[in-house]
Order: sequence, then structure tokens, then C-alpha cells
Amino acid sequence: MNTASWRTRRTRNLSVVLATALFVSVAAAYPAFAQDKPVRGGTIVGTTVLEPKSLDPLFGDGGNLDHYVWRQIYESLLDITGSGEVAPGLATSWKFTEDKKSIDFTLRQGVKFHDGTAFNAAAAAVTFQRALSKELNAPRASDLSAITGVEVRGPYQLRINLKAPSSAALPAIAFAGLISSPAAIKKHGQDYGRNPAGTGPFKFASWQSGSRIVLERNPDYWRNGADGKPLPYLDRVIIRFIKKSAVKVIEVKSGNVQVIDTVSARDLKTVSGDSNLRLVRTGNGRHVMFAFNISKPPFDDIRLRQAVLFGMDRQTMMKVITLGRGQVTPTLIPNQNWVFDATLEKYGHDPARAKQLLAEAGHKDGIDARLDIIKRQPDSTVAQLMQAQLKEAGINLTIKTVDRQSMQASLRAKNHMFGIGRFTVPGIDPAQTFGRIFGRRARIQRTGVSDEKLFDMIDNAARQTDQSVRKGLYREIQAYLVDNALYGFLFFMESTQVERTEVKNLKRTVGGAWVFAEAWTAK
Amino acid sequence: MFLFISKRIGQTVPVVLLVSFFVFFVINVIPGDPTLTVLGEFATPEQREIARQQYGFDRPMFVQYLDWLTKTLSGDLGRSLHSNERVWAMLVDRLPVSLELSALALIIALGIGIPAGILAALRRGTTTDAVIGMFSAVALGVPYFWLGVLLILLFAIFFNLLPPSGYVAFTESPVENLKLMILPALTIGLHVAPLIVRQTRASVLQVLSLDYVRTAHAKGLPWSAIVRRHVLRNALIPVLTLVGLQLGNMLGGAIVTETIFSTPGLGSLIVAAVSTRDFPVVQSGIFLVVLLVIFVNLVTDILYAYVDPRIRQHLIV
Amino acid sequence: MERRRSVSEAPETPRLETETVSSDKTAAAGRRARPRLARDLLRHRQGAVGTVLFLGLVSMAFLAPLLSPFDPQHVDVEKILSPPSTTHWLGTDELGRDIASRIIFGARVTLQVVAGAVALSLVAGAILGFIAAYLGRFWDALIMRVIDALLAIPPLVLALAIVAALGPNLFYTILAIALAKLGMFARLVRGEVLVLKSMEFVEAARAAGASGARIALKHIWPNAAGNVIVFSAVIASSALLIESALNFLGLGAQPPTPSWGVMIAMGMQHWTLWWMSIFPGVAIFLAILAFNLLGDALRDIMDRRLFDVGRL
Repeated sequence: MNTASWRTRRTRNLSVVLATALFVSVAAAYPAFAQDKPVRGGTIVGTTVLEPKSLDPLFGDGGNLDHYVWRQIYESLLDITGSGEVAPGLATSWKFTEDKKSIDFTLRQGVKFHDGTAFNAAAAAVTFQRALSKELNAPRASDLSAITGVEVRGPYQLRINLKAPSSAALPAIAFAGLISSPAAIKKHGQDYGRNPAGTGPFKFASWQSGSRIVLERNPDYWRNGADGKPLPYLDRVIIRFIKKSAVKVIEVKSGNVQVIDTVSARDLKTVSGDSNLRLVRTGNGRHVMFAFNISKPPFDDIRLRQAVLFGMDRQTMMKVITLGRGQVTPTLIPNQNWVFDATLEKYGHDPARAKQLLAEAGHKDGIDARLDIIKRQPDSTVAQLMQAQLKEAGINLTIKTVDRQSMQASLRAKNHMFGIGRFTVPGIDPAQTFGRIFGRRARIQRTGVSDEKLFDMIDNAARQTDQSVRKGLYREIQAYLVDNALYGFLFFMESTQVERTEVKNLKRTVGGAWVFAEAWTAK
Repeated sequence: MFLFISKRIGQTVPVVLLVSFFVFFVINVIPGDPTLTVLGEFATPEQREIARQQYGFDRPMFVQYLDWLTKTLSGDLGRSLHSNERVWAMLVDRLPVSLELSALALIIALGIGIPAGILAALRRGTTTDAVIGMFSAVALGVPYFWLGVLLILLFAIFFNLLPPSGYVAFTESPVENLKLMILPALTIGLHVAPLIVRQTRASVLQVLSLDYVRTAHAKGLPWSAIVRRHVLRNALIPVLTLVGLQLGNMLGGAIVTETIFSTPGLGSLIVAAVSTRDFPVVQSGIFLVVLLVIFVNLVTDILYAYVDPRIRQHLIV
Repeated sequence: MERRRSVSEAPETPRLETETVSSDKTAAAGRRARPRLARDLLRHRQGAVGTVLFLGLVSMAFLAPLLSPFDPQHVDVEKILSPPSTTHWLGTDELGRDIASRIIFGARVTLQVVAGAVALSLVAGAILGFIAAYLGRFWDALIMRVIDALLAIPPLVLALAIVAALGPNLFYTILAIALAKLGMFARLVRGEVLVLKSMEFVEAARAAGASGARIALKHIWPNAAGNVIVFSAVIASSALLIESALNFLGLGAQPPTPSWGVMIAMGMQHWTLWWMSIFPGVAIFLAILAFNLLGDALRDIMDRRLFDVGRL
């Protein structure tokens, strides 16, 4: 199969996925920028909620959040554009081999890393070799787990070998294959994470830990702007770390900060009238849900799980938390996604039914249960709402608040009865979403389920390439999750960011992370 | 004097060792899998096993303690489990911020506390004294983190005069730095000021009652001269002692204050490290704070003994 | 008198000298005059205010169900974040719960922790201090060094480490504060015991064959009690501050338990809604003020008696 024909098919698939992911709305938020002439110079300050653990892309732990900084410093062989296409990045073209188990990349020439060394196939190979290295034991290597090897076949020819033909390999390489400079890695060793060098539009300048990272313009960047001169337009990008949504809003209102990441619905209300600010909906959002631990009482009994699900009023919960900027859905798939299916819904608010189920299970007087949550919002408010709602159904909740690390330890050890978590949805492809959260090799098996039937269903759906077949398979998987009452899918929250009107042409990745390469400031 | 200093340092050593022991064991009771911090949530069980051996989490706790202690004493604080940064570099990064914050807070506390305390003492029994007394009683009751919240409400939100959070190094922009540091410094400073007022008032009153002051007064020296020449010098010694002793409180208060204002000091480092289960950072961070407190107390004691020989003897005997 | 002054002015801080603090006069005063305490307290202006505030706090805690206009846990999604009104005097929170009722019930949690922490640190500290002074030598040195070490760690740092290690839980909060504060009681009791140990009536009792524990309970304890009361008030005030700071950081009471510190932290999520952070803060302020005023007044009264006795 040649590159062109592959891309045509791939494009069709992806554009369906991504158009439904509301990518288009991001582009539509800038009706005016085409007429505006970019201004060079200036600084944009952005603030995001999580400080990256490391600026070495193989050593992050923030999922999508790390990309708010990484995407300015690094680039990948491939890019995923706003219209939902896999596009050239550091690779100018690519094609699958006959057996579809390898991909041949032709790399861009004349690109330099920030440390001055040249980008070529040998340099790019190092990033993938590091991901494969047992010795390095890099935590994010799992994002590239579809890869088994890498071959340098010429100065600008790179071949990547895959475990099996996979519909998710290219998006995975685009998302996680951020290319580091081998010379910088060698020079800084263990401290590379604090001294990163990629090929991206901005160079790392300084990091005041706990406060901010400063990035300077990369004068040798390979892409040109609308004025025919090299990008980026901005001189500096500063990324600050602020946890509290309310504080972020004050900062952006007063102009100390020009762009902020997702804020709570209630804070959005306070900025909606401000003519200096613009609301930007990103293509994704977060689904707040909880997992029952089915490996021990009380929730090894499906009737008790269902009692909890019938006892909750998710509509009210969604309205209270998102003020209407959300949806209640049968599973974590939001309603505009192509695998969404409204007919899967089984659990409406029905306290009488909940009581009846409790009685059937031999708990006429109700049960006590402990709900584990991570110390953050809106989890704490959600938990207290659940507590109030379930009380009417005869289920007494105690809430245990822990930090993120202990929560994960507790989920791993199956010490929890049930615990609240949240996921950014939709992913690039449902294969990713379902595989990571519910599959055989899920990061954490939150429910303790080990049903081969479910795992096989998920693996099978990821291997298929025909969309209508896949749609049916994902419906079956979702029906399994709902019928077995493994999770409480509470509600979906839209993600909305705020930026000041002087910020122009700021693009965002699928996950909502900023890409400042072509951004400029009118001030 | 040498004998006193060496004896005092001799007393400090076991305290430091005990603190190190205590800190290490409390921190290592923390439940949770340290490999989660090292590898994040995305790693496999095999990767976790490798990391456990790499970092020595599989050894007995006491062996880990001795290992940590000897390494710490030789200046090797290890690396953060979370970010893999050198702990030493992290502390060096954060310490100046906390020291600046403490220094500013101290300037505020002393700037308010000493004049108010002297005034109250000189006007003992008057309305001025009563008003100052009332203010310090009230100020002592204000929880400082609430004060921080109120200051943000007032200056950042209602008047929009100062930014609510963040940090810029003094070397980079002194004005920006002070704009960001003034609210957290006020938060801590106003918390400590009433203690300074009370101590100043008490020790000025005490010095005023001493014979030589009475004599000086009897000789016809004006009060202003007496206060300047005799009273202040002697009365401020206990105040300085109090300042030394308050450092611990101030660093404790800084933990919450830095968290409110997102000031990247030692306090916010410790809070963040506690929540990511980053043992080496929590251990070394807390240990550094305690060492600072012990060191300042030691210096204050030595200074105090230098000024007041009775104490020296008292301790030596 | 001179040494006492500096001690009583800055009772919070570890003192310079680890040696004895009080004089035999204190002991005598404590023994003689305690029955008059309540009367003296009410005559003392600050003491009276402190007593009123303290009684208010205690009755809030005990009579919470009678005093509060609403169930503090009652979630009302129709009334989320409403400003103070005639129905909800102090407004409602993010779940539509009545803030006034939550503040009233919050007094329970706070008082529980404060009382628990003071009691625990008092008992543990007194026992340690007594053992140190009574056994002397090696034990004295060992116990006092451990206490030096404990006191060298800023209380909030110590509490943070312990609560972080053991998990957020009411009892661990109490334990953490008690551990941070027991050193003060230990030093106080040790000082008293050292002085009294050498005094005649104790010598006599010992000669008469009384046991260590009996001497402790019958003779030494009554003498130390005066200072212990003063210290208790002072420590209660700082325990309250630590407790609310831990809650503020989310390391104390768990939702939905009403807690003042948690309420302020929640208020920080809703800046523009001032009532959420102002009122719980006022509650903490008044409670701390109550203990501070009581402590000051008690110390004043004790000092004055000391002075009277000294003059006799």
C-alpha cells in the first residue's frame, strides 16, 4: 500500500473521529485571525494545573497535561492537525511495509536540535531505543508499547517495527514519540529532564520549580510563518503552575496571565461578561466516574452495585457541578462520539428500586460503604452529593480522601470498596480509551475484573479496521460494562479554557494542550 | 566562653541525630508504593520490581536509615523519586525564597512590634497601652492562613493592586519580586508581630525598673536619652532571643502561607513532596528546616550568653 | 520573678534554659489560692471576656443540635451558594448547606481535637517530665534530649509529617498535636518536680515511706497544677491553630464533617463569594481569642498571687 492511498483511508476514519471530538469548533473560535497580520515579538504567559515531573518526554506522569510544556520544546515524527489528519512532522512521508508490521519514515532534512546538533535518522532512533530500553525503565515507554524495534536504513530513512498491525500505532507515535537530542541526553545524563533539547519552536531557558518554566524563541526553527520568516513569532513563552481554578481566573482577568487551562464551570460564569477574555472549548472533556471493587464485599454482589447506581441522581449531579456544561451518558463515551449509543442507559434515578435490590441481597436496613476519592475538585463535591443522594436509598457512605499516589496504591492493592476517578475523553481512537482503562493491559484494573471475554472483546475491536464492524464491537463492550454494573459513569464535563483577546492563533492538540509555534500577541 | 560554646554544641549533636532518626522513621511509615512516585502510574509490575531493587526499597528500614544518614552527612542527598532532580539542587533552589520570605516577614514583625512595644511600655497604663494591648491580643487570635485569604480578597480581588500568586526572583526583577512577596510576608509578619510587641513591652518595663535607670533619671537625664542609651540596648536582647525562637514558628507558618500564594519555597516543596510520597525530598526538606531552627537557636543562645554571663555559668555548672 | 517574666511572656517558645523555671513561691501560691480562681477570673477584664467566649464555644459544641437552624449535612441543590439572607444568616455553601449550622457543628470537631490534644499532651508530658526529674541522671538526659528534638521541629511541620504518614483522621490529628506539644508540659512538670523534690515536705513524705507515685499524686501534682492550667490554655490556643491549619490543607477532618479550616479552604475556591471564607475564619478567630484571653488572664492572676505571697 502506498502512502497516498493509506492516508486517504486513514483520513476518512480519523476525520470522523475527530470531527466528532469537536475539533472544528477550536478552529472556528478564530474567525478573525486570517485577516490579522501576525506581529513578531512579545511574551505569552500561560498557566496550567500540573507541573511536569520531567521535561524528558519518556519520564512524565501527567498524561495530557505534560504536553502543555513539552509541545513547545519537542516535535514528533508525525503531527495530528486541527482538521483531524495525521500530518507530516519531523517525517516528510511514511508508508507501511507489505506485512503492515513496519513503517518506513522519510525524515526532514536541515533540522537542528536546540543544542546545535543535527537531526537525522540516527538521532531519531535514539528516542525509540530509549523507550525500548529495559535498563532505562522509562515510565512513559508504555505509550509506545506497540513498537518492538527501530532500524536506521539511511541518513534520513527510519523504519519502526510493530508487534502487530495496529490501528493505533501512528497516533501513538504522534502523541508519545517526541524526539530528544541524543547529544544532550549524553551530556546531561540523569539531569536531562531538567536540561531538555528538542527541535521545537521554543528552547528551554529556566525552571523555577514550584512556580514556572521559561521558554525562549528557537531562532533556528525550521518552519516559516505567514511573513516568510522563520517561526515562532513570540520571543518568550512562560508557563506557570497554579492549581486553584479560582486563582487562575483572577490572574487572567487582571492580565498577569494571557491563557489558562481548563477552569471550573462556576469560574467560567465570572468571566463570561469580560470583553478582554475569550472562552475556548477544547475538543475533549473529562468523564467523572467511579469503579466498584468487585473482588471483595460488599460490591462483589451485583445487586448492591446496581442499588448504588439506581440510588444516584446523575442529572442533578451534572447540573450542580457543570452548571449545564456537561452530559449524562450511559458510559464514558460523550454523545457526539461515533461509538456513543444512548440506548445503553439502564440506571435512572430510582431510590425505590435501589431499596428493593438491597432487600433482595439481604440488606433490608441498608449497607455501609466507603468511597475513596483523591483530594481535588470536583471529586470532593461529587462524593458529598453522592453521599446525600445514596442516604435516601439506604446506603451510608463514608468518604476517605487521599492524595493521588495513595489512591493508586490502594486501587492496585484492591483495598478500596469503590473510588472516584476521571478520564479525558474521547481519546484519539476508542481503541486507546477502552484498551487503557478496561483492557487486559490496563494501567490499573480498578474493578478487579478479570473476565477473558471482556479482554478479548477489547483486543478484537482494536484489531478491526472496518468502522461499522468496530462500532458494533464497541457497543457490545459498553453493554458488558453497563450490564455488569462494574462502573458508575457519572457525567461528562466539557473542557473550556480562557484566553485574553490579544492572544492570536494559539492552536491546541487533541488533548487541549497548547502549541505556541504560530501564536502571536497583539499587544 | 569557648567551654560554653563547645558544651552547647555538644548538646545539639544528639538532638540533631534524634531529629534525623525521627524524621526518617515518621516519613517511612507513609503507606503507599514508592515505585509509584518513581515510575508514575503507567509502569508495569516488572518495571516496578526493577525500580524497587535499584532504589533499595527492599532493604530493612534501619539499613535504609543508616545509608541515608551517612550519605546525607557526606553531602549526598540523593535524587527526588518524583522528578529525578538532585535533592540538593532542589533545596538550594527553594531555600533563598523561604529565607527572603522569612526576612521580609521579620522586618514587618519587628517594624511593627518594637515601636509598638516600646510605646506601650513608656505609656504604661494609659489608653495607648490598652489599645496596643488589645490590638495584639486580637492579632494573636487571627489564624494566619485566614489572614492570607483575606489579604488576597482585599488586595488582589477587590482593589486589584497586587497579584494573588506566583514568584519572580529578586535578581530578575526586584519590583515584581516585592509585589509578589509582600502579601505572604505580611501574612507571616502580622502573625509574629504581637509576640514581639508583648516581649518588647515586658522587657522595656523590666529594664525601666532597674536601679541604674532610676539613678540616671534621678541624675536628671531626660527620658528620651535614657531610653535611647540604656533601656533599648538592654531591653532588646530578650526580644532578639524571641526572634530566634520564633523562626521555627515562622517556617511552620510558611508551609501554609507558601501554599496559599504558590510561593516556591521550602514549605510548598515539603507539602508537594508529601502528597507525591517523595521520601528523599520530604526527609531532607524537613531535616533542613529543623537544622535551621536548631542553628538559629544555637546562635541566639551563644549571643545571649555572650551578653549575659550568668547564663554561661548556669549551663556550665 | 525575672525569669518567670520572660517565660510567661513567650510561653509558646522553647525556652532558653532547660533548667528549672518556677520558684517555690509559685508552688505555695498554687496550693493556697486555687479556690478563688473562678472569682478572680471574672473580675479580670480579659478573663471575663475569655470566659464568656469559651463558654459560648463549649455550649455551641454541646448544644449544636438545638442551636443550629438547619441540619449541617442537608444538601439542597436549589440553594447552592446563596448569600446571607434571613433564612440562611451566613449563606450557604457549594452544596447548598447552611453555613451557620456548619459553623456551629464545626465547634464540636474543633473542641474534640483541642481537648484531646491538650489532655494527651498533658498526661504524656507530665509522665515523661516526672520520670525524668524523679529518676534523674541517664533517664533525665535521655528523655530531655528526645523532647529537645521534638520541640526543635516546628509544630506544624511535625503534625504535617505525622498526618501525612498515618493518613487524615481525627485521632491522628490529636496525636500529632499532642506529640508536638507534650515537650512543653514535660519541661514544666520536670521543673516543678526538681524544685519540689528537694523541699521539706516531700523529703518528709519520702522518709515516711511514701512511694514515688504517691508522692507524685499527693504532693507534687497539686503544686504544679496552677501552671499546668495556664499552659493548658496556651497550648489549647496553638492546638486550635494547628488543627485548623491541617484542616485548611485538607489533612484533617474528612468531608462531609463540618470543619472550619475545610470551610475556609472551600471558600478559596469561590473568591467572589466572600461569606464562604469570612465566617468560618471569624469562628476560628474567636475560639483562639477565647483561649488566649483565658491564658493571659490566668497567668496574670497567678503572677499577682505570686506577688502577694512574695510580699507576705
